[in-house]
Amino acid sequence: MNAVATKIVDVSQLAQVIYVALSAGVLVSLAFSLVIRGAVRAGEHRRTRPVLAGVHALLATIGLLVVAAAIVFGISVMLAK
Amino acid sequence: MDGADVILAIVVATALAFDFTNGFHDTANVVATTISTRALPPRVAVTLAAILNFVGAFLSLAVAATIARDIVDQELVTTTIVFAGLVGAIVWNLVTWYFGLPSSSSHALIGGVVGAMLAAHGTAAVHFDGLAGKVLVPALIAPVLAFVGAGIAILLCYRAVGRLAPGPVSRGYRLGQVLSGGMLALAHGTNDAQKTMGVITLALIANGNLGPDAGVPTWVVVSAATAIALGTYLGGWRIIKTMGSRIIKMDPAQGFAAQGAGAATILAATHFGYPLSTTHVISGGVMGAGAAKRLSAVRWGVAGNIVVAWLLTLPCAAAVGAVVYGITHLFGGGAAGPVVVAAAGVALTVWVFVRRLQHGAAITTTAEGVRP
Repeated sequence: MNAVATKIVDVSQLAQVIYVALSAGVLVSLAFSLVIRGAVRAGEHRRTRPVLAGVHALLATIGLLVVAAAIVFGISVMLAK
Repeated sequence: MDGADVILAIVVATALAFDFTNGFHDTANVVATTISTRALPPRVAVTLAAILNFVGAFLSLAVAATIARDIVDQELVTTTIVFAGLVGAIVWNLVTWYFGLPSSSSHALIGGVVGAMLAAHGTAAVHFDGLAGKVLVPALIAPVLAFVGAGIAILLCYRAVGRLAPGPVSRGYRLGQVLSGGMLALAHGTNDAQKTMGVITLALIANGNLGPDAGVPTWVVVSAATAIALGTYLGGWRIIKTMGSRIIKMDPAQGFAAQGAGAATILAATHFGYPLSTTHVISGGVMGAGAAKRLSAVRWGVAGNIVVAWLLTLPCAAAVGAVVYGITHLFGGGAAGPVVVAAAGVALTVWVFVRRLQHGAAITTTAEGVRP
């Protein structure tokens, strides 16, 4: 029964879809949330605590780079097929 | 032009009509959350989705190959079977559009072709292992995956921005929705336009215009991309209302999480050639983003209707496909059957559209921010 199921469904391929979709969906959302958090906090602390504002700006930049990289990777994977 | 070529021309026209209804029907998947959270004005969102659907159709052909090779026995396919399958899919699409239900165009197409094949040649002509492995199992997993992904994503989003002022946060997520909505439209183009390409390729192989292992011709890619983009641009406002405001009342963060999880699921599946339903995926994402915030935020009655429509899609489209094949078969093996059915189909479609427009609700929905 298991052998038949394995023959019909490519389990490893399906597992890859699950793994990639979950991690990409969650990571991109988290990274973009950090962009928002970093940008808002950097704005709030810009005049009073410039160092902290810089740290938040860095966080926002890293988040933005992660989001951009994820989009570029997603499109390149599509183009490679 | 002999009878076979006439049938082929009707099949190509019907396939492109299906592609148009697919774009028309599935616009909601791509833009509903963007519009309902006011991330973009409706016309801008729909235009952007149409352009990205067009571009997406050129990016990958894995799904088209699955449709053309893995579901039914290529050697037994005739253009009449493909025609009957397409009519089954179009009829089901129009019925669900009429009632504002976001069902799957993909499963309608696959169901229609499988039903016509069963009526013509019996069970031996259908690759049930391909149908189960490439369609049914991914169909069950994908919405759950989007549900879980969107649920986890929204919890992390709220955690990350929890104590910030709501104004800038909402503006940020609305901007994010432009990106995630764009990716979703691209993903929709890569997955859904290819189904039509696969069906036209199947018809060309059945008619002897292409060899069994031939790739998808460029004119097929261009025409399918154009049809789905046009359908997307003209849009289906009834389903936008259901997706955008009836399942849950969404905030921009939820819209962003639902679109992001949906796009990731569709793109990952497209890479391996799984012909997913974008409708199932984004509905799962919307429900997940709502349920993670508060279970009672999801209108489970509406969600239940959608699930019933999902369950009925394959068998109903298959039944219509089988009946249409039977009707065309009554006229013999020539072009008369498809010509009669196509004429009747055009008349029925015009009647449905006129009736819908007379009622006015299709383009005057009153959901928040959903006025074209």
